Amino acid sequence: MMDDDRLAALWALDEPPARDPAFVPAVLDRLERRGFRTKVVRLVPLFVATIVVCCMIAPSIDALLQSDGAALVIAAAGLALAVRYASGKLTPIR
Amino acid sequence: MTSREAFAPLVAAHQQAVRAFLRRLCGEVAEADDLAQEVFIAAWTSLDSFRRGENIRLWLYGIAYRKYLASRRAAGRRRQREARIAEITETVQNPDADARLDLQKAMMALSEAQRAAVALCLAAGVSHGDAAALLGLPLGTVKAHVARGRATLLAMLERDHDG
Repeated sequence: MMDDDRLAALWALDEPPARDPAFVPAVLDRLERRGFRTKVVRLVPLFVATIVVCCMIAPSIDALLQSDGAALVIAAAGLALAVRYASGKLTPIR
Repeated sequence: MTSREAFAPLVAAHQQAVRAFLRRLCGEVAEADDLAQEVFIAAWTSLDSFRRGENIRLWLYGIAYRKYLASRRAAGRRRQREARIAEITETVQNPDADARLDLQKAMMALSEAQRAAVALCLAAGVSHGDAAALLGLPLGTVKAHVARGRATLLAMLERDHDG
């Protein structure tokens, strides 16, 4: 039992503080940064897809701009709806 | 209050135990504390897997042990730690720090499984059965690890004390 007491006393020397005001905010801060990074990573495919779609429809829009104004309005409304639908699919990260 | 802020009391309540367990496994305070932060982040992201009624501290110990094993796989870590301990050995002078270092060195002389069993059962007061479940080892093996680890620690500490 003496030996166990001795070990316990030695371990007690290395015990972290019961209350550490720096540790909890450090964890929460790290969690916050991790969440932000995850959010950014999840947005990258959407960003790339948006660029690709823009490149694909650019010639049509260009043609519309030079011809029929009403068709342009319809196309813009469709695009706006598509963007809104796509952004609605993104769920916030805990 | 956001759900992350609601997580803070859990971190505050268990940080001491998790950090102490990791310090005994790693033998190095900064590395242990860094891993402890990772443990709580992992706990946050896998809160769904926590079963109601389960002992949350044991659950955190389990995450900590897996994190520790994963970190050990990182190349060169052991060598770096040993170099740091050697560095500390040369600079530390006060008796408490000497005693702490003796224990740290003795712990590092144990095998990984022995160290984990000793840290859980002797230092943290976890039952042999819970430690066996947590480490994924048979109960008899854990009991043997604890008994041999304890004997090795005491022998090494005695030797250091005499020397």
